[in-house]
Amino acid sequence: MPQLDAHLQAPARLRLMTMLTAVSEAEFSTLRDSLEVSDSVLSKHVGALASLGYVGSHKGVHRGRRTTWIWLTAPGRAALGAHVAALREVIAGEQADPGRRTDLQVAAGPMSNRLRELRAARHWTQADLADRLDISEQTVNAIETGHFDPSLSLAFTIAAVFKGRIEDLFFPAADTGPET
Amino acid sequence: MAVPTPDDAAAALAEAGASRAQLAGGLGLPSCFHSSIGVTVALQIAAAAVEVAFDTGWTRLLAVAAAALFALTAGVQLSRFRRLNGVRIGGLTSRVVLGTGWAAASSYAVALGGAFWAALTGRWWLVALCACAGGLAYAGSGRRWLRLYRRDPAAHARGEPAGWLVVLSALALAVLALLVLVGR
Repeated sequence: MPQLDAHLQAPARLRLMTMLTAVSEAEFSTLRDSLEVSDSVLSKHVGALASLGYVGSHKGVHRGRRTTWIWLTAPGRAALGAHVAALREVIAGEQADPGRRTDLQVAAGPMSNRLRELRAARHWTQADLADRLDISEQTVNAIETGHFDPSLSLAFTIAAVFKGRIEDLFFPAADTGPET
Repeated sequence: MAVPTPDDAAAALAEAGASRAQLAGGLGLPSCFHSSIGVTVALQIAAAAVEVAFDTGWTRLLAVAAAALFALTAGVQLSRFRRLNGVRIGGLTSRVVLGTGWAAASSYAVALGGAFWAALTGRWWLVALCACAGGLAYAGSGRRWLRLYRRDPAAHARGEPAGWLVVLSALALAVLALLVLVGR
């Protein structure tokens, strides 16, 4: 059974930790703007991760203002690696390799979709749709923003929820969508 | 703790990866970053060659001034990068600015060695050529690192360990001393 880290389950924390792997240290407001969260939310996450020893922080100056610089510690890097490996194992439960894309998928390139448009037409929030699909709100957002292409089974479920066909919902990014 | 569905897990990883790519892709370099580093490296190589050839008080001062100019430029550009982007990247400091990458270090060593030999044999046009080539290669390897970093930020973000930098510096000084001794 994969050993998921409960402290990294929150999407914002996983994104924060992953972003910190790209830098040696980052300034508080840079992370806040990238994550699109408020000061207090980021403070809370950083505080929780710092208490676990996953991130470190120090006070510094940025653009003439006193601010906080945050970095990923070695235990944090290890915890993130283990958590990502566990998530990949979860995904592998459904498909042999989470990073695997068939030649056809690669040739097709990134997909676009009409989820946001159809959801708005029904006056559903992302949370409403997530409830209907039995997935997280974060996943709905990831699909809508094009960061994540759903599995075939989820695509069928989405099509069923919208009472349409998969090809009416998903199409290659180069296209503008199905003709209506 | 609830185990996420495969789709939730995949979406979480995709979102995290996208955030990291967005952060790395959005980083900008201060103006004249590569060119200033390349020019000061070229000046430093030329000044060191002049010092090896003549070894007077003035040439020693010139070599120190060129090294100081490089250090000052490097410090200012790194500070500007940090101020501009709100991040510090060890890989940028060591690979791009300090030239610890294989391409930068080897091209610098070859250019410096060539410039020393040219200076000792009085071929000043070759000193200038070696200095320019050294500066260009140094700046070019920095550009290459940036491309690699944007493609895979996590793999290229970290700088060299401090111990390795000390070993590399000691090795560089030893080679420099050897070249000076051979030149005499």
